[in-house]
Amino acid sequence: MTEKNAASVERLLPTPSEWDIGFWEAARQHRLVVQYCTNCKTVRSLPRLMCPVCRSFSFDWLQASGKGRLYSWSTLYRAFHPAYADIPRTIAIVELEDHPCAHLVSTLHMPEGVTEEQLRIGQAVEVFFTDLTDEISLPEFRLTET
Amino acid sequence: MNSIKDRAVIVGIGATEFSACSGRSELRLALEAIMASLDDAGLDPAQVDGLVRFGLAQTNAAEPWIAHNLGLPMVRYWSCVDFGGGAGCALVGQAAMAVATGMANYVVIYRTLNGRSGRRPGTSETMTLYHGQDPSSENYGHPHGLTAPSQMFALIARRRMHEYGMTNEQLGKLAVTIRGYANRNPHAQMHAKPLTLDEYLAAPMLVSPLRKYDMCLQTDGAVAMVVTTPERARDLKQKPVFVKAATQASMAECQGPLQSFSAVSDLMKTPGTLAAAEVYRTAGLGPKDIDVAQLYDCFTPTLMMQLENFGFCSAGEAGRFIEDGHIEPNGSIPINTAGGNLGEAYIHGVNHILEGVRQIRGTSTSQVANAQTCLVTSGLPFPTSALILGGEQG
Repeated sequence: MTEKNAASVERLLPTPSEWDIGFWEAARQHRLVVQYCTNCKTVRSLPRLMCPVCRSFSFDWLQASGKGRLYSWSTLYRAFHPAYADIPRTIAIVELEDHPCAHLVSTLHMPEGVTEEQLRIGQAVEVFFTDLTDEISLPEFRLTET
Repeated sequence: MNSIKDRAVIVGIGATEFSACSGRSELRLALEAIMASLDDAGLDPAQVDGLVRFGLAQTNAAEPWIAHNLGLPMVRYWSCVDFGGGAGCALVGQAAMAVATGMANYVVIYRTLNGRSGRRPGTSETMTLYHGQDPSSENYGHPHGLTAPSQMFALIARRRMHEYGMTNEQLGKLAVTIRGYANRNPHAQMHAKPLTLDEYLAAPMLVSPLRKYDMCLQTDGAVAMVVTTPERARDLKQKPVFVKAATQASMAECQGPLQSFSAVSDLMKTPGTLAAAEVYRTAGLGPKDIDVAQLYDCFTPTLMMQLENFGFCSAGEAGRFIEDGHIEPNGSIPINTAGGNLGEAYIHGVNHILEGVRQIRGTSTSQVANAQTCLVTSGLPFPTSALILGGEQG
């Protein structure tokens, strides 16, 4: 599923599925959530249909603080996909502060003038939301300290 | 005995040239490689009754069409192993099981692609081939522009720098060493192109911290091999190469074919350690018993993980292991002796199996003296496979 942005290049959109509709509904409300099993209470690193620990189909969503730390990052200097050609652009893996098993991939938004040379593993980041369509808002992260 | 050990042998190998533009279809390349492997074995094509195909196929070379073109009177076994670069060694496992159980007599394995002149692996075009197979990547990676495998290995490399102190110079030394093997192989794409550490470091940063020479080639070409039982091998031309062990390996965290590590809690936990435990256990061997290894090298940091996961050095020590010269031709464990995905060709590591066969036969361009055991591995850290080849029964 894609969507045309202002530059008329199709950006890749998520397809809410039976195991993560709740994530995208929360994102639409600008809330970051993590999935957990309502039977054994295990928080999952990635949304899925069945609990990998107790095999229950029952799950729900926990509000996350939206704060995290850089687990890794990489800056792209040559575009691979036409919709992500605003290079250099940095993606990161963010470890959530309150649910460390959950790591999210995100574009990393950096303040003006900050380059990847100034990034450090463990640097603090926080979530914000970008409304892509009427249905989809995307959680992304920005640095909170430099 | 519930083991594949010594119940199957590779008796023929064949390959097209490896180039940036084959000028031929993937179907044509596959048929050429298959015929070359049958000629190498001394086998009449009509005897082939099994076909095993590498899954990530951009082609019309599926098993029935290959059988149709080869004129096979009866095919009693076919299979296809999916999920990209982790599949290579599993192809041999499949063929070995077929002949060991008597489900087929002679199984041909093949992999073909115009990966440079046609649809290129690692690009957004190839990404569409995985559609539906990796929902986590599609929902949590792609929307953020994480669309190419090199980006994920770059994230792993950055984390290795933090956890292990890995340096760009160590990645560069690795790239230069593997290129050296390619330079000694007339059939390697990079045969005539030496690489120095200065050139490596001067090359443009593409997806930090990876540069141009950290990345594997893009190749047009095909490879094939023939598997049968040790008994049937006696009537054929070549010294048989024994399958000592073969395994596939994955785990819950590997949730997809390619970007399966996009959000796991430990980037360093890979199915490579599972694969290593299985092949060593079933072969009755350990890392010190391996004379030479062909390790999947889509990117240089991948190769470091391979050395560690398969026990040639401990976790985080691969950089120093390489600096100390262990993977050089006169080192303790020469690797990727035909040049690998980085320097020979990117045939998704199926070319590594052919080089393993050459090492056991004694025909490699960087031959390890009296090589009796060769480990071959497939891609990490996604669902993977591994193989140990040997020169003798027992």
